[in-house]
Amino acid sequence: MSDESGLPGHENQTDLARDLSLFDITMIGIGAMIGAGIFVLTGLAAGQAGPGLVMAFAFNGFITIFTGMVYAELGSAIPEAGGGYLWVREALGRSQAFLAGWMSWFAHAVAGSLYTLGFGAFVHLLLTEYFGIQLFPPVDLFVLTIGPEKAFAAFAGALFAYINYRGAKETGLAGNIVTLVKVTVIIILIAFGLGYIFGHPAEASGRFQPFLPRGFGGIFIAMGLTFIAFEGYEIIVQSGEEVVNPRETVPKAVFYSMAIVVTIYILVAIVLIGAVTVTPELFQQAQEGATGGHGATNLPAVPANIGDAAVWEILGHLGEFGLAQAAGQIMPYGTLVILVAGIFSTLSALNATTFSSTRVSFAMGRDHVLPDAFSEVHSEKQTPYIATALSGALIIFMAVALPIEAVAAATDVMFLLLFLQVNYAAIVIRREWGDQIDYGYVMPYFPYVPIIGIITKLGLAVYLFNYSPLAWYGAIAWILVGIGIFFIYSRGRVRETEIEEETRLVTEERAVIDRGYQVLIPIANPEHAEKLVKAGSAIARRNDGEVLLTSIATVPEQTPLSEGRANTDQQRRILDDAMQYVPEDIPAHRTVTIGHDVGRSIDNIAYQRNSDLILLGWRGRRKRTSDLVLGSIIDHVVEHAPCDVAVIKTAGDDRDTPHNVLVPMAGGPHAEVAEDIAAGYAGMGANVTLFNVVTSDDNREDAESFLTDRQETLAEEDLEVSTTVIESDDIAEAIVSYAEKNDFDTVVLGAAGEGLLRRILFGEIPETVGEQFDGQVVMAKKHRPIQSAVSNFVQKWVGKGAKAADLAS
Amino acid sequence: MVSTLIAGVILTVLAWLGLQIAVVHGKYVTDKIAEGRYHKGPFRNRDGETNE
Repeated sequence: MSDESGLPGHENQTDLARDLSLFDITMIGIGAMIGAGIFVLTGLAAGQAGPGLVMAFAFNGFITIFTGMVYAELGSAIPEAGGGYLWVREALGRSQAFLAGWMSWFAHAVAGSLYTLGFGAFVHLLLTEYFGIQLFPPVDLFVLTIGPEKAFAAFAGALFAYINYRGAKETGLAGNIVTLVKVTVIIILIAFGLGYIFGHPAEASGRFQPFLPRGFGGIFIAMGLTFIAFEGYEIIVQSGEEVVNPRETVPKAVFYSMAIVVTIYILVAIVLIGAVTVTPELFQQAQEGATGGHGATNLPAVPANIGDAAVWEILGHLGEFGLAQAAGQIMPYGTLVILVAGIFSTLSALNATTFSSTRVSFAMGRDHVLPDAFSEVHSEKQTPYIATALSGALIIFMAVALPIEAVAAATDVMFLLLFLQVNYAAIVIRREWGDQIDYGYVMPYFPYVPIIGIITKLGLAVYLFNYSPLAWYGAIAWILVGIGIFFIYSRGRVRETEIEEETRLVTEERAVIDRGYQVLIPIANPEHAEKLVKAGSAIARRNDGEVLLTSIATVPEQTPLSEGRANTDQQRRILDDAMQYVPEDIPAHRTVTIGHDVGRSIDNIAYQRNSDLILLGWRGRRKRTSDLVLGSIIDHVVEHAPCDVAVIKTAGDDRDTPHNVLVPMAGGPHAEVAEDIAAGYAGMGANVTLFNVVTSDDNREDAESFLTDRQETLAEEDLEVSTTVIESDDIAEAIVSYAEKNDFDTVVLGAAGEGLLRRILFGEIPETVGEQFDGQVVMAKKHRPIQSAVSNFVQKWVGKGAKAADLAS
Repeated sequence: MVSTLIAGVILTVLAWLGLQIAVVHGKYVTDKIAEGRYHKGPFRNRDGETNE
């Protein structure tokens, strides 16, 4: 059954039955958002924010609106497994999506580590305090210290990796029951706590002062630490494949679960601060916690005198036991109840995160950005067993190697950075496909909502550095490893996958000989074929190379490539005609291809065939709209080509073979390509003049010596060229007028450099000359992979966002 | 330092209210779109036209 929802041209095949109701998916969301964070992290967070914890949770609830709206909007339209990773892939391309997926994998896995540690801590406390079982003391293993808690954590990690391998997934009903039990326990806790507070108002309110003992810094840290709760959005959206009427149900589930969960968190914080006294027992546990490596390490030491100890301080030192120990005072058997509820909660959260981290890496394997092993499905169990094993290993490793607060912080940093990318993807998707997508919900004040989302997430993530620099170092290290893997492995695979989807070869006729250097000449207009083919052949001859003539038939984005076959006869005829201009000494191959987009297809062909130069024709008018410089095809090829590019202005001069060629040059990599082309013309018998315009700031002697240098180098190849230097402050105008006055029929120039923020194709000077000079103009650009990758990256983020912001107003 | 506490309470209540308002608005928008009666954002020019 194929779904019509999602992005244009994006097929969503789903075979899952839709049987989850709004209530079911809301419960899934609440279960995921309450998760285990409330059991494991509130103590740590209280230690950072003090009584202000209540406000920290409220602020988190407010800030999460922005990301919640984004998830509601995208989830209503594209509710599929893959979630944020999928949206980033559609909006920003596979390369960017790799990073999102890589971070998502880590984030879900580290969240799993956090839950295993919570589980380990709770089980340990349960066994030692309630059952009086003495367990082994911590053992030093090289750089690690493994106590019973870490051992339990590792066990839980391995157990759930195995359960996921077996394929036992938590069914809807079982999941609902666990969530209902969790929520009920917490509501009872809240009820008892509020009862105490209303019974002892003066005492309770006294405990809220000072409200901000660690200032707003502590508030922000607490916010960052507990933001992990909202990873539940991902779970809601990914369950969307199984939900009735997802367009309406998914956004409502996101909103309802936000509203309920934040309220619960706030009430728990109120009760924790207001209804708990620092008893001698609690005080002693805090002291043990501080020395036993549980509590936060950035807190001042536990005061010597119990009278000086504030509740929040004690909770901070209790760390992940904060809520459990405090609950003992709030309700009967409170500690036991919270421990048991916490154990179930951490296990169910561990199951969900093992599942989701496996799913992300599986999706990436299927997309070929991670090794195919990740997408291997066990023949019997029908589960992605390799992805499961690796995710499980990652979970266990993080749990054992790092202290819990670093793990918590690392998880939060990764999720915050992931949300940042998703917010950005929402802007791009709305901008590019907004009028075609079947949204069930749209956010107001677009694009300000996701922009605020980006700023707040970034702010919180950066602030967490104060709390745990180790978490940031770990996050950065992971990202760098990901970038390394991407460039070494994934980039090529991504490219191949994209090419397969984009361009298909229809016919090919190869010359008998193959040579190393290849000039790719796409031909669309037969009138320009002669000029292009002769120029391309001259360049190929100079480099002992060959030419590849290609013609591309396009089909619309929605149409599968196989249906474009019928239109390729015209392309074949164009190529047959063009062949007459190829000199006999140059091997020439021909291909006819079909693609959705001419520019992308040209790049793909160049990539597949390892072309060294792409030669394009240009009509000579600049477009200068906000989107285009020289034209959509040329712009795309020049910016994304995997090799050198040269553009020939085909309008104007009727002569096909240049006789007098002017080559303005000032050095630099692009000038090399220009010089090469000019030398090709010289080889055809043209008169070539190397040219330089010095402005009042330049040194004339340097320019003359540079040109003489190049002249001598070319002379070694038996090519005679002249040199000229003139002075002028308007370089482009000087070039054009000199060329016209001295009867030059061709000007060949190199590009002027890379633009970072402003989009530059060849540069102002070459493009102006190209437009104004009546004769033939050739602009050349050298392929510089790193510079162009950086430039493309910045353009994607700055350019698209800026465009979207413009259009919104 | 009662004033910090009161300020904190006020901010907390405001933030919580802001969230609830956003949630109610979200439900409203979702229902309107489902009924076909929402005409803002990408729905502004629908009914045969595009936003281009």
